[in-house]
Amino acid sequence: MTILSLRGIEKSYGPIQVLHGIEADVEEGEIFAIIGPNGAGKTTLFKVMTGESYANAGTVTFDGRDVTNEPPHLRTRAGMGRTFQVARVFNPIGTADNVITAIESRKRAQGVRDAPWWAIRPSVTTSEEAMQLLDGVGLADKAAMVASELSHGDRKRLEIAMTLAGRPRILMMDEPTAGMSSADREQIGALIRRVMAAGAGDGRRMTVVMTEHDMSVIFGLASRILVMNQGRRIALGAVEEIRNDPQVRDVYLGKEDQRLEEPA
Amino acid sequence: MSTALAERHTGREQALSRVQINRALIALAALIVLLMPFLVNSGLLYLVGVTLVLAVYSVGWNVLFSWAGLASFGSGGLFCIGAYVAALAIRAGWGEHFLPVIALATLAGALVALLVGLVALRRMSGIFLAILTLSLAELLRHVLMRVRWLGSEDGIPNITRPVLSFGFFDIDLSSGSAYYWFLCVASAILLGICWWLAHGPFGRRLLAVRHDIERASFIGIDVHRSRLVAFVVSGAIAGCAGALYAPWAQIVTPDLAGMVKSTQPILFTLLGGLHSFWGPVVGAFAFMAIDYFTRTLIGIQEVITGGILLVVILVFRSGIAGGWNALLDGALARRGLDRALARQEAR
Ligand SMILES: Nc1ncnc2c1ncn2[C@@H]1O[C@H](COP(=O)(O)OP(=O)(O)OP(=O)(O)O)[C@@H](O)[C@H]1O
Ligand SMILES: [Mg+2]
Repeated sequence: MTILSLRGIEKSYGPIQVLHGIEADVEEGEIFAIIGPNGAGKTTLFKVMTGESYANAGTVTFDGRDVTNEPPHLRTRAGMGRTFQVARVFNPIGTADNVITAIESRKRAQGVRDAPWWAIRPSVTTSEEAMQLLDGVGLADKAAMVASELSHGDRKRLEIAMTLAGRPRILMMDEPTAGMSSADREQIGALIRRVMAAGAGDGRRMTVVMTEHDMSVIFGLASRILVMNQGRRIALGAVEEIRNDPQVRDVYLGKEDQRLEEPA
Repeated sequence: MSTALAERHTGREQALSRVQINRALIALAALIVLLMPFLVNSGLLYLVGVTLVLAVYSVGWNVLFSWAGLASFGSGGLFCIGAYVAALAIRAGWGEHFLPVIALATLAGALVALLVGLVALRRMSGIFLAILTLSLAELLRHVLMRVRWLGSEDGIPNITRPVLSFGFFDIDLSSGSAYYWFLCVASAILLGICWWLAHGPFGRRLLAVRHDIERASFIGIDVHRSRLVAFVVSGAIAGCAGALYAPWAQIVTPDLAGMVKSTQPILFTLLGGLHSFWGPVVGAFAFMAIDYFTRTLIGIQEVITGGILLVVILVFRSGIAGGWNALLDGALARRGLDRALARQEAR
């Protein structure tokens, strides 16, 4: 079943066209990777898919609904969760408070009332859920820290916990391992696998869409890969197909050729 | 202000006792404010009453500023609307229904804020909001100065302090101290509401919007709506404060919509403490004290006030409240260290 579909996506910034008629279908339950050299338009495509910016032409369909011009909070409530290339969390507040805010937002949108209307503190179930989510990303012992005190990698983890707090059906991650040590990368890869294994609740499968620079991460994780270059789709297919695609090899030839090889 | 959970989890002794010390200070201050009619003459009592109203009004402004991240430069206009609604209602003889009159003024402030917010908050840029609110308040002032029915430049004088009527019993607020205590009760209620809004789920939502508006929308928060609600709440508080002010001052003038009223909450917040709930209250009373003690120094009063403001902001970027908390934390940490050292020596 197709969960997210892109039809003829065009996007320009002023006179510069960044995306040229991108077509893609993301199937439920897969890990869909978007790769391409710097400036290929991966983040821009991400923005169009999530509602951070809107396409100039084309349609984005999520879960059978046209969301092309829908603002982010509605897409989020409909089950789309996203993380940013540079992790964005609410820096000045506590790590746990970040997740609590996200859980409360979801409960509010769903009309779940588990605290009296006059309650100031988050409900016990909310606090517990926050601790579980933090535990899931390996931040339980840092729950009391202020988010700005966290390391770069930990902030990425916190962002994932906040996103999972929204109980997404599709997890959109823009470069989840950017700027991380290789040990941290492994952990994020394992985390993504765990999230996939846990499913999206109600017996539904979780879907992940991610962009990535590190080919070793991608080849180890992805089900299918969309390759972009200069705002165009140059290939879309299973990992093996992509690896053997001459056009893809062309794009990555030279300085980036080695990145297409399986990690040692 | 938002790491409630963090504080709970660490259970740090010093963080806890700082909160306790501040709570005790707030209680003490509240007691002193309540006892004011017995302590000072009517002139000073009037000043304290005005400051109380302005403090509440500034807290309402600061919830918008420090929580939602929106700087309004026209809150005086909303204060003025509340004050005129109350003044007109009392002039029309509705004084005995003063509580519904306050509700009406609150509603008026909220409604005008809603209309302004619908236009002003469409755009994200803060400068757009600042200029729009500033000019609307100024526009209101000029209109009020020209409407003969509203007393033009002289405003509405001789506002009587009401006698509240509840059917079988009356509460006479016509004496200075009675109305003063009424102000105290009303202020406590309004501060309570603001505290509840700022520290509950709504406040957490607003903080999220202020800290990172995009991240907030990507956890499902309707950022436009949250900001609009904050704007309306702040307008309601301003309108309500204006209504409380009118019978206390016994005169309302178009100047209430002027720059001075609109910048007061900003100055109070800067002096008292940015991003702090009690900051504007501290700032309001600090300003009152400075004004009071420099009242004879005509001509250089503004210079002294400005100088103090500058020094406080330069020395403690987070105002008096922030500076105080830092001092307290330092002292408590030193005491903790001393104790730890003593324990080590004893071993
Ligand atoms: N807000 C913007 N205004 C103008 N041009 C932009 C804007 N955002 C991106 N671009 C341009 O669009 C192109 C695609 O950028 P994008 O960030 O989508 O690439 P990317 O594939 O994510 O690159 P990277 O691998 O560096 O993250 C680049 O040439 C970039 O300069
Ligand atoms: Mg990018």
